[in-house]
Amino acid sequence: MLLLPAGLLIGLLLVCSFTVVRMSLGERNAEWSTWSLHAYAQLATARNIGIILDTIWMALLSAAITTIVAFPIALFMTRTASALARRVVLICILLPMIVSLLVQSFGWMAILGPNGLLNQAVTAITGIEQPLSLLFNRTGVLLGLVQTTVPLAVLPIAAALRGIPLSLEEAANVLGANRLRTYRHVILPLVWPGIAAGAILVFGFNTGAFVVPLLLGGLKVTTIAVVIRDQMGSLFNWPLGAALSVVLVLLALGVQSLNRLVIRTGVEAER
Amino acid sequence: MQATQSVLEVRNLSRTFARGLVKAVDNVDLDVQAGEIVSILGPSGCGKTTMMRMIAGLETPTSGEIRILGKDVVGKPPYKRNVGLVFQSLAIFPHMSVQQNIAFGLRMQGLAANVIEAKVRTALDLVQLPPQTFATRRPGELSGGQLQRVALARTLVTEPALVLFDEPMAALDRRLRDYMAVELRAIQKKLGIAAIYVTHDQETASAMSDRVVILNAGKVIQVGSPAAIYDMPNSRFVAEFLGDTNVLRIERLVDSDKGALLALTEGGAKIRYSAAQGPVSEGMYAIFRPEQTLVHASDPGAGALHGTIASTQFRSGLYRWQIALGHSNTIIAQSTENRLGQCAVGDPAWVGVDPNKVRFVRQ
Amino acid sequence: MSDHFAAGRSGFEWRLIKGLSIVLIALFLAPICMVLFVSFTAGTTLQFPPPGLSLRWYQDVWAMLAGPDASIVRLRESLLVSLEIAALTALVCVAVGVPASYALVRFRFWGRGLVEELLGLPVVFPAVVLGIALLVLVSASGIDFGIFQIVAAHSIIGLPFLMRNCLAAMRGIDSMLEEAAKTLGASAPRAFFEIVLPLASGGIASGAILVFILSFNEFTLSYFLYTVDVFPLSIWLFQQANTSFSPAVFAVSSLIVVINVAAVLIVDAVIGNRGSAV
Repeated sequence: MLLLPAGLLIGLLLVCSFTVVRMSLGERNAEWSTWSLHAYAQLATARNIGIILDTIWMALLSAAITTIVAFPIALFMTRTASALARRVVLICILLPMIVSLLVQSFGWMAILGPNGLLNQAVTAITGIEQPLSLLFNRTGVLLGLVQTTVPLAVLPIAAALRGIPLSLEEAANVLGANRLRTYRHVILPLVWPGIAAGAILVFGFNTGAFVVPLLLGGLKVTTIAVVIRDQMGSLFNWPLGAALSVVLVLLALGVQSLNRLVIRTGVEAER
Repeated sequence: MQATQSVLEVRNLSRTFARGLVKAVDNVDLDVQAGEIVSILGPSGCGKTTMMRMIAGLETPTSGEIRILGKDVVGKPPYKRNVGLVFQSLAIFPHMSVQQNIAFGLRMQGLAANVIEAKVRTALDLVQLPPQTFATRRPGELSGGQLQRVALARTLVTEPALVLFDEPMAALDRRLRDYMAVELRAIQKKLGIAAIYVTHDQETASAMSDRVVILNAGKVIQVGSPAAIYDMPNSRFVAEFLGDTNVLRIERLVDSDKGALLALTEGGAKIRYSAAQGPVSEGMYAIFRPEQTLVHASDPGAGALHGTIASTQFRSGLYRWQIALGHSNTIIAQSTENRLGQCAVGDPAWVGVDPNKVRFVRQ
Repeated sequence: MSDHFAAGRSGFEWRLIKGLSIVLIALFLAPICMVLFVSFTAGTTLQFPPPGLSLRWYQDVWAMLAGPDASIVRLRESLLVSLEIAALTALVCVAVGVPASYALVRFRFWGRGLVEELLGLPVVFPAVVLGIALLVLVSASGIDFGIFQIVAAHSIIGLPFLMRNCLAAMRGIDSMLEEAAKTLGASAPRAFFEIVLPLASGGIASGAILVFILSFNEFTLSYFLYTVDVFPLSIWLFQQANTSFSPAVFAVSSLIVVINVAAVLIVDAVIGNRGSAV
């Protein structure tokens, strides 16, 4: 009874999933009346496999970078004695995720664009005209993907770090470990579940990336989501677009179960 | 109809969990009369909380009857039972002032605002919280004892036929608890309400109640006044639950040459008994309390139990000794004076027991 | 602050962590700051450094909102539609999410784990796929749902965010409080409205604000589901950026940033220092 309204919303989502699956199994321009695996055969062409692998590669890369940059921030957040600093940092890392991606893309364009802040500065210093090409390529997209997903990595790592009492580090020091060894043998093993959870979250979020590659990638960086838009929108190849959508949904579900696995092993490790 | 109708009648009440594998409450009967406080006493997990929640309507019985003022209430929701419940956690509504907390039940009854206000004042006076100081306070600004009083006032103000207390004083320290127990008892007698007090603390139970019901593993073990149960436990469980007790298993019965009846216990003790103490047989247990013993440094004769001193202790005005009999049995003896002052651990000692105070139980 | 680390943590290490954090956070906030900065340019392009500072683009935006040409530029219309969609989405999510959260917190029932999984599904579901599938369904149905096709889409992805806050708030409420209310004469619905709802209101409110801002900023779903009549602000911005990338776009963006930051600060104030905002 209480779940009925929620069931309606989720039901709509499930109907959407079935629609996509059905469309992917039809012939072009007759998606509802025919059955065919043609779209999946198309999926297996080098171009489409390339796009899928490329998307996964970008998501992996962004997950790795995000996790690395998230670590010192999470460390700062958990170890600072000032509650105010902790709160300010939290808000500062949440803003890039919450504030409209479109607006932030405009900001990146103004910074990285051909006449943007960075190039102007470099030109002023070195005298070279347009030395850096950072926009409408992988670098720009990666930067955007990392920047908008930092909190997804920072929060789980910070949660894991909070669980490590300072006395453990002190014990390691007393036992003769220097700081690097303490990090390697005490801190990293203990925050590993948090790092994994954060990395998986970022990866999952970025496999479906659409706005960032659309705006910062120009037409040069194509992720699955962007290709789906092209196939469904301008090329009217609905079955192929739907088949790519199925791939994207399966990727998302795979990431979710991986995430659950990590959380479960993390919980078991606590015991 | 009898002259005094029971406020609460519980018949054959059972509640099972895990598809009948766990019997939390097992075929329990219970009566509470008007103006009476009955304590339900038992170790944690004995089913006392489940039982109370069934009476309040927060849990459904598997079988059995619950009648309040003669009316069957099984299947009725809590708000149609005329039962008040003071929770262990007190459950004071954190988003309401003291006044609003106490007025809540009256508001649910749909009373007029001025009636509610008058009743809240009376209730606050009753629990000795001056209304002008406390009415507008928030729960966060009150001490444990004051929260206790608010919870009590909130329950009493709705004038329930029966009030249930679920160890509401468990969180208080000993002194405050004793004080509140006395006060709670006074208020209950003044209002003449019927109450059930659920606790695992036998001292509080004894201090507050007219009758005590000992519950273990979902079953009623013994019912009686606090004094009767303390003096005449019907089982080892009851005796041990109500305080330190000496328990000796009877191995053999002998007729002594002088015509007295003697029970030979484990550890080699001989205990005299009379036919008036009921049938005694092998395998039963002899039970007596430390304060019913008298220790001696030399053999006083008269069948005193012989052993060696295992430890000596002084605690709040009382001397206590553990006397080892044989290999595995130890007897606790107690006295207000240091009767073994000259002895050290390992020295022999004798323990005399008043044979009339020894109870013999089957289990 | 430093004596916290006297035991074994060198001053250098702490300074390194602190310095890295500040640099990284500054980098992450750079685009937002840049938008704010550029919107004050006195020039007509995005050139850097700006020839001077002025409020001319804000005057421009004001003219677009309230001036005689407002109906042609359609900025006002888009803003209002976006606010309307966001408010309705927040409302739908509260109406749907609060009872569902309560059911999950208070009752054990068959299939509870599955329900929880399904309710978390929108978080990982790719927005592009949802948007396209809804678009296909809407056009197949042949009905004009007006703004409700976007509201429905936003509600699906907003629901987990509302429920996360709502669940956290409700889990913190002792079930004894409700039982106390019942023994004091409150029926089950009454106990819910008198006890649970007021105590969870902070979590519900912060969740609702979050959903509101999520919907207000949302681009992907709106991109697939907008129509000529329902033209949300994010789509307006996107179109402007593709046609005339004037600093006025940055002025509008700055206003959006201000609204966003205000919402985050409100949520932060409501839920305090718990750190579970997202």
